[in-house]
Amino acid sequence: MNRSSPDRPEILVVGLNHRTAEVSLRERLAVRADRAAAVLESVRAIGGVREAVVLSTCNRVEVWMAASPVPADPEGDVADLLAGHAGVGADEIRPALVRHAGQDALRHLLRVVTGLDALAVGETQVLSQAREAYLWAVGCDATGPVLNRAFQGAFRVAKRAHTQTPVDRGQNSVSAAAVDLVSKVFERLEDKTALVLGAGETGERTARQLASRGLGRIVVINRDAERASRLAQAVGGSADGWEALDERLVEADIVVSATDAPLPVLRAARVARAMERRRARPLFLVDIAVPRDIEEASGRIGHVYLYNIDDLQAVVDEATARRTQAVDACLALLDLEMPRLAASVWSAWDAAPALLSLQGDAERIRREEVERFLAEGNGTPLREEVERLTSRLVRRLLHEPLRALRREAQERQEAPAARDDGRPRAV
Amino acid sequence: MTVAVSPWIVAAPLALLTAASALAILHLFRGGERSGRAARLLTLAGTGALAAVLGTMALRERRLPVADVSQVLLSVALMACAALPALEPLLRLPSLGAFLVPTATALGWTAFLSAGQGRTWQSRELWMSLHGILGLAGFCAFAVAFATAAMYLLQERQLRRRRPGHVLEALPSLEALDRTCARATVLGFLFFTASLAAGAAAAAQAWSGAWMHEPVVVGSLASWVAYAFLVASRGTGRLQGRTITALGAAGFVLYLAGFLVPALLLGGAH
Repeated sequence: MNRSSPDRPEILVVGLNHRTAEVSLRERLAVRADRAAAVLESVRAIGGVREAVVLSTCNRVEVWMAASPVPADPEGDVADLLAGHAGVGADEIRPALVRHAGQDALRHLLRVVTGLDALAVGETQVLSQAREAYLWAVGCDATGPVLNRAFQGAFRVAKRAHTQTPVDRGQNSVSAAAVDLVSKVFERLEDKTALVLGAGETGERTARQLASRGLGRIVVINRDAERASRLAQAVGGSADGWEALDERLVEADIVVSATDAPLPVLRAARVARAMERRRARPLFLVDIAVPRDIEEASGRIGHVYLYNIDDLQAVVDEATARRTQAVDACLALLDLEMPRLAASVWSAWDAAPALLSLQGDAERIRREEVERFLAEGNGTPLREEVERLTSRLVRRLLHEPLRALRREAQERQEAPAARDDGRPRAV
Repeated sequence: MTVAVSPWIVAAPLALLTAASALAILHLFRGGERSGRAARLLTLAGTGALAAVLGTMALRERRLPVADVSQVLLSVALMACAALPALEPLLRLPSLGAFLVPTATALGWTAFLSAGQGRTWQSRELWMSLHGILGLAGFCAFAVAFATAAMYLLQERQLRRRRPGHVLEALPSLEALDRTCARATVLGFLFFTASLAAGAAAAAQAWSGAWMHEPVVVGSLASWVAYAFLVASRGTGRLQGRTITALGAAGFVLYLAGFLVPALLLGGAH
């Protein structure tokens, strides 16, 4: 079923993402908030573009457009536009650009906002970033009926996908999995202390994850005191020397060990001594060093929970397997929602000829009335005021009929979509 | 005139709660939106049906449905299931239902099996009514403490065995479970103590003999001593973590035994 009117705008998106462009290019093309309005303005200056939204995250820069007629070379236009704003050569940008149009663009939008197209599949941050980008475009008066319906519909579907499928659950890195496990022992982290042994990259990543979850106190112990201080400063903690290890072990609730020591730095006897002084307070040990830093027997001491790198990798693998299943469920949901979204996007436009005709007639009547009013001898200084007044009058008069017509058109479109068996339909 | 609980009247609500328990446990281990929703709906249906049965009984007898062991157990099962929708968000324990509904269901089936057995309590005196109401409240709090203790022991086992999976993800933190278990135990102990005091006042009025030697009284006092030890151990911090939680779970079993065995098997004036 294709009921489109001849000048119906086509939705298209041109952009690059983590699959098509290196981070070095993505970071240069990222559209900062202070330049978003100027970029939106440039997009709307492209011939045929009626509506625009610019989505810029750390993984993607995408220009969404509703255009009629569709520009002859949208990739070229977007490459030139981004090149002009970022000071990067268009030749460097163009090979990384991909285009989606029509239903394909809508499907891509659904995949983006549900996090299926993200680097960390299922992440929810992209949904809020897309919402911000859309609201920014609305604030700049850059959107219209097509993109409004597309984005609002996509946000609704994304919310449903995150509620009905576990696509956003489970961690995909060892450090994030460790922090998740910590939250299975401790309810609140604000009053907890973490002891980080080693100031290498893995230790730092885990320490940062803990700090981002609002951990109360972080103590870093490292052979290189300067590196320890640097990491401690970065995560808002304090640094200490190895000689303080036993004391800090008694105070700590969480120990993250990531040194490059060839032998264990935490023997079971040492942990047992600390536990005697802790009066059965739980101790969560995370050993992400290879070779291992914490003696395996420590995990058999009462109230001690020990996870090494293999245990954490198993958590990650399990989460990945579950997420793969969830992605399938999410894709099935998107297939089901696609025809409804498409119908919703185009319904307003399919009613456009009748609406435009009605609006045109009213506008003609208004002008005739104004001319008659002025011809009747009123002074010209009043002209602007009368124009404004009558214009407002017409808008108010037509508000209800227009709304009713739009609703009816939408219902006409949605009725067959609701009976749809989930297969994509032509619109 | 006390109307004994007919097994057939309570069989339907208990069948619904049994199905709800099975689905809630399935949901805990396997996840899935459908099993979770179905478990909630069946719990709601079972609770409603049980409320209708006990409500009818209460209206007919014009008193709380605590006239015999069977009615007490059914009332506790009803209160636990009815409180669940409020308890889960309030205590921030989203999987509580998978433990509390089976606990309540087990109490319900015990009531089903013990229907018509043991003595009936006819008194409508103030002290006796207080004894019944406070006893029910304490029983419910202990049931919640038992459910959270079971959750703690399962979650602790998952963590110790380093077994990732849906159970680990679905259950809350050990700290949250331990806190809730401790609070429910203390609350239950306070209600239980007050209930025993009210019961003692009622017994002093009603019985002239040596009522302290009644089997139900002795069983209740034994349970009180066990819970007093648990509360004191938590208060002083002498026992913590898995040990105190396991003792808490065992305490509930002792509490049930201290109530059911004397009331159903040993007889006496109580």
